[in-house]
Amino acid sequence: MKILTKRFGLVEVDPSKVLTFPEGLIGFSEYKDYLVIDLEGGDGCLKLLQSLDEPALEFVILEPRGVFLDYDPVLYPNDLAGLQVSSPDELMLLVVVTVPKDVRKMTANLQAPLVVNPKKRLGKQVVVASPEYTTKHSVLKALASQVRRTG
Amino acid sequence: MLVLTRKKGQAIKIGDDIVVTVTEVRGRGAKALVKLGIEAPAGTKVLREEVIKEVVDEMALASGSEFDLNELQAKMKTAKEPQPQS
Repeated sequence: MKILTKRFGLVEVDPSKVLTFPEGLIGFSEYKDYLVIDLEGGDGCLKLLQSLDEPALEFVILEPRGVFLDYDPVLYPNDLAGLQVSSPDELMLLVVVTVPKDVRKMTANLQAPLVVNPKKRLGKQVVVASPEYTTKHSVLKALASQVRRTG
Repeated sequence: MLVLTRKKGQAIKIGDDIVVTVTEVRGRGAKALVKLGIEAPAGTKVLREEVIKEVVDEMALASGSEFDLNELQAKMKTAKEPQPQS
C-alpha cells in the first residue's frame, strides 16, 4: 500500500512501521493510523508521524530518553487501557515536538506523551499529572545540557 | 450541575473513595483562591482542567509545523556536539 505524505510524496507503507491510536491523538480523534518515518541525516532522535488518512497531517516525534534523560512520567492503569500490555516494561514513550519557523526554538510536549506498545503497534496519548512536565520543553537546551554533563 | 456550599475544613465525598476538602479560602471576589485537598485511590489521576486545553492547543500548533526538515536535522546534530571551550 502506498500513501500520500506531506513531505515525501507517495511512500510505500511498511506495516511494521504503522502505529494505531484507537482513540486518535488529543484533538485529532478522527485520525487513528500513522506511519512512523525514520529520518536520514540528523542524529536519529527525530522521526515523523504521518497520518495514513490525511496527507497534510504530520507530527514530529522524538524518543524522550535520548534527549530528556530524566523523563519518567507516572502512568496510571487507565493510561494503559487498550494497549494490550501485560507489564509496563513493554511500553515505549514518544513525545510530540512543536517546531516553529525558527527551528532552534523547537519544544517537546512532555505533558502529553504517546504511550506505545511496540509489539502490538498500538498507542495512546495520555496527559500526565506531574507538575514538572509541561507542553513546552526546549529540545536544544536539553541536548546542550547533556553535552555539558558528559563533557 | 450539583452546586454545594462548603466552609474551610469541610469536605465533599464523591462515590465511595474520593474526598475533596476545602483546606483554605483566601481573598475576595474575582481574586478569591480556594485550596482543595483531594484524597483518592492510588490509580486515580487528578488534573487541573486547563492542562487539557494546553495540550489540545499544543497539539494543534505541532500539527501545523512548517519548517525545513534539513535545517531541523542539522540543528539536532550540532546541538549534540561539544561546544568549543571559550
